[in-house]
Amino acid sequence: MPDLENRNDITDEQLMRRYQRGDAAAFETLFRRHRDPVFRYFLRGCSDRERAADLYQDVWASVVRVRETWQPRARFTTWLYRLAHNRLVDEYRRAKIPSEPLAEDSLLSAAASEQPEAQLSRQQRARRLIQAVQALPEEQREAFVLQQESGMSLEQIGEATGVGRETVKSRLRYALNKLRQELADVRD
Amino acid sequence: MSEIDREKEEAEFQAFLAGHGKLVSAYKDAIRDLNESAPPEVDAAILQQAKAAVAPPPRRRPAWVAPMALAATLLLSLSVLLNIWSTPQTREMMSPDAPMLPPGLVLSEEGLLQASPSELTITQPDLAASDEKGTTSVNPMQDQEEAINQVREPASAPKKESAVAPSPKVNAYGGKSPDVSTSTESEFARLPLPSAVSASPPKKVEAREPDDSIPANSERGAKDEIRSELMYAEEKKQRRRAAEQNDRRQADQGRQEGPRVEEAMRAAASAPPNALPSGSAAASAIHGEAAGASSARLSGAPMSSPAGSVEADLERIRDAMSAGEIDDALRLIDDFQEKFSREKLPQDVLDFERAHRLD
Repeated sequence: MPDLENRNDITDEQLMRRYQRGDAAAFETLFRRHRDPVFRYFLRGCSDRERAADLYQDVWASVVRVRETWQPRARFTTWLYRLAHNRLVDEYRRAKIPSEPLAEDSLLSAAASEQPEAQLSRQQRARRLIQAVQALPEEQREAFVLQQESGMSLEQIGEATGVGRETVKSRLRYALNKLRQELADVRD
Repeated sequence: MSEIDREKEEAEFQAFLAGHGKLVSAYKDAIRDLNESAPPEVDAAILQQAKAAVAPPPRRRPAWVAPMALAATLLLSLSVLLNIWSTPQTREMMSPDAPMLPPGLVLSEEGLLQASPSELTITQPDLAASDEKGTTSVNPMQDQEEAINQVREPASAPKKESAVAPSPKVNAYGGKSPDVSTSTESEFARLPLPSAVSASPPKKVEAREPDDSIPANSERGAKDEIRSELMYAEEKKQRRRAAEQNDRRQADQGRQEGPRVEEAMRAAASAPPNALPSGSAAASAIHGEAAGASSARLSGAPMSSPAGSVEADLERIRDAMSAGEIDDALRLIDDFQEKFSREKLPQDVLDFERAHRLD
């Protein structure tokens, strides 16, 4: 329903309420609002596009499945990313995906192979930044991605990941410092 | 790290938290340039799953609907059939012997229903009831004429015709005649008509124009004649009924007097022949009764008094005379003379016999 999709004054919670009452178009609007950030969240988390797509589909299937029991106690975004976080943690445990950051050597070597920086294309710089993000420790990476992708506040990120506000802030500070160091040669 | 650097980092961090800064814009550019999104087939599958989840489930009929519908249909059918068969007229109309087309209606080439002229003949008395436009007028003679028609028609005429086929005489009362309209329309409803017939309305049956060659006086004379016939038939019926009652009464009387006559016969046989005065009424009565009783016994007829039989026979002869049944009257006179050779015929009967024997 294009009218619904273009109306930003309808909140996620209202759309979810409509979907609870059987309005499939409301779900479609909600889905289009959040599909890309959720997919990127999984993509940054597991570094595998196919696995990220599976996790992404599982989370949305969970939204559909538990729609009737959903209560607007928190923001829809917080609830959605909590589902995504739990699903990703399950996946880490099941497939033993290395939650450790990528070796700094690979990042550095990639950066070295692309000398000089001034000649790096825009695409290459974007890829370099993403690689730097994926090289962050799991908690810092998750806090950074959630802060950038979902637009949630520190409290909401803490609620979604099950930690406090100051913890999130600390993780973000570490993540930012690390990225600054990693991308010092790229910046400006 | 100096104090200045620490303050600079803190400012950058606050700008990052607020969604500003070079790193934030660089990340946004990166995700835009890399265009990372889920595969479209996964998106389609998710949307389909979401729609299917809220789609109303296909309505399943409760298990009791089919038997209930069957029972209701059977009940209604039975009640309709019972209703049809409890009404004799409907039964006649529904019977396979009933003609599908009224005899007066034939299909023309154009597929229109037309009435054959022979079936729409109008009797002369009925013409008086119709005006020039063929509409029905109130006819005070209608009941009497119907009675006349009943007398004219044999009693054994099948009543079915009146229910199924339109009577030609009824048509004379114009297009509003109930028999014509109802019977024709009911036949219409039952006909497996071709499309041309069912699409086109039946042609209106109109009354034939009165024949000017027949004078009105002759109509009146015919009516009077019919009326007198009717009255005569009624009188005849009454006389016949009275004669039958008289016969029955006489037969009962004879049955009661039978033992007494036998006793008288026995006494006469044992007594000398002149014991009773021959000319006395008692003797003649006894002799006559005995003779009548014996003759009745010999003929095998029920025993009745001879005097009663004489009177009854004379009454029958007189009935036939008054009814104008000359042959019957003459035959009854012959029978009487043969049966009661000693009895004299009354003068009126003798006059009648004389007058008609000469003829």
